[in-house]
Amino acid sequence: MSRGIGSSVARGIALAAALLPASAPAAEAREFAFVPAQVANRVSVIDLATMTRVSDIPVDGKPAGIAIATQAGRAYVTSPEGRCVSILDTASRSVVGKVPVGGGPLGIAVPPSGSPVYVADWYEHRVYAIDPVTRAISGFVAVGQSPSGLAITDDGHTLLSADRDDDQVSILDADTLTVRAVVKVGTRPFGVTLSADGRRAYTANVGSHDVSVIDVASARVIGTVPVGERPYAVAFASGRGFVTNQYAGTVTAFDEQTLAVLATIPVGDYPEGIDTSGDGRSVYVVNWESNTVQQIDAATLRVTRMVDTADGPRGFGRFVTSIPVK
Amino acid sequence: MSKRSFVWAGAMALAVVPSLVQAHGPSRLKVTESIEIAAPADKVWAKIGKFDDAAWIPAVAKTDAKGGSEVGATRVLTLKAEGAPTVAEELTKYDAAARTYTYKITMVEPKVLPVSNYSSTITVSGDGATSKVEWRAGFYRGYPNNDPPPELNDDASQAAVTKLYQSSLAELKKALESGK
Repeated sequence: MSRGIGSSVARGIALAAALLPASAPAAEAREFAFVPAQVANRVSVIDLATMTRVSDIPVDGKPAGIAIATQAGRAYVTSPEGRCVSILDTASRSVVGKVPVGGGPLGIAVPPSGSPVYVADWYEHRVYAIDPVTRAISGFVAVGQSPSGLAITDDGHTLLSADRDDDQVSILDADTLTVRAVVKVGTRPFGVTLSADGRRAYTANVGSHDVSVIDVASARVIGTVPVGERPYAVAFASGRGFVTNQYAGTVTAFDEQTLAVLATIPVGDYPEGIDTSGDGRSVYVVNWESNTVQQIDAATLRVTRMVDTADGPRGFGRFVTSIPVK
Repeated sequence: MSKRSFVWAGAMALAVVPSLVQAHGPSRLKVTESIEIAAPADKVWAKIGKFDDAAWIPAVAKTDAKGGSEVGATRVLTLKAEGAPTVAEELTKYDAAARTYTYKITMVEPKVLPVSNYSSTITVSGDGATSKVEWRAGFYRGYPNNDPPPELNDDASQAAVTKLYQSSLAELKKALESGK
């Protein structure tokens, strides 16, 4: 693995940037969204600086979930129908490998270190670990029924699985692949997202139309946020949570600390995946029915820009990454 | 009434009982069908824009509705098929000015229409003497588990909805253009 090299390069870039006069351009990286479009069997690549679609990468097997190892320049895309995870090189925007996984791989997560890659199997009720170097399954752990969303802490030690059909979240020790605790949440949790500090987790509960807030250390639900009909996933930006509501066609914004609902923002039809820009000022919403990605300003809570995608975009997972400009 | 559209989904195998409420397949499917009609949009909307009256859908024998065309209204459609199967639906969006509404199926047997988590939008557009009706759906196949039998897989679900929409829109066009 090249993570040691990657992080020393990053430190070097940060140091160089710090030493340069303010007027000189910093070492440039550009932000992109990699959005699995399930109906089209494509991953649409969006340049988020210009909000233009720059590529549709063919990925078969009905791709839905995504996780990105930004420093390694790799995106991992689940295809539940194809029963595999495709490995994409983010710089060249191409598929460089494929790993067969279980019966219905859907949710996926990777820590910043880039390894291992965790995949939830919707039908086999397991979470698999994949070694991205050998491209082989290195282990698995049994969880509750129909695990969907996954989230991993930045230190890579704690993994959460939203076990949709058991109305629970499994808190897993990622190193040993064992269950540390199980927390009952609202009805049918689908997406699960950690706070930036990894201390809280938030589930979007499809069946009870709310978000459960979990204190990870004590494995307890400490709050509930009512949202719109059929919430799918949660993202955070500027101290605010943003929840896509599939049936309502809205995004609910709430205060991360007080959990008070701040706004209900109309978006495209059947919004699903949602993720945050690197600067924390925006969230990007993937609209499955409308075939669009919309940008929401986290401060003004308004939709600012929009771009088309390939047909049936889902973007289930963390789909925003940055790529160095050569 | 055309005889060919007396069942919604055609003959389907009956051996399906979803084991988990709300469970569904891995891929959400789309169907979009549209038709041009030589009639003004207002006239078309007058025929199909009332959620509590689904008589324009050829397969429907009876509409039992509550709540008119307000969001949250419900209707139970009894179909012209053996055993008089029913479909329960709820209105989720309604915009008369834009001539569009969205509803979801809250209860249907897979043998009637092999779908789950089904949501549908009908929109009438057009100026002057002609109009366009677009009917869009998003849904999962009716079989919730892996390895569905062929008659209940994604393709079969998609084909059933496509057939329902195509035949209903064709009948609508015929009725409106013949002045009925």
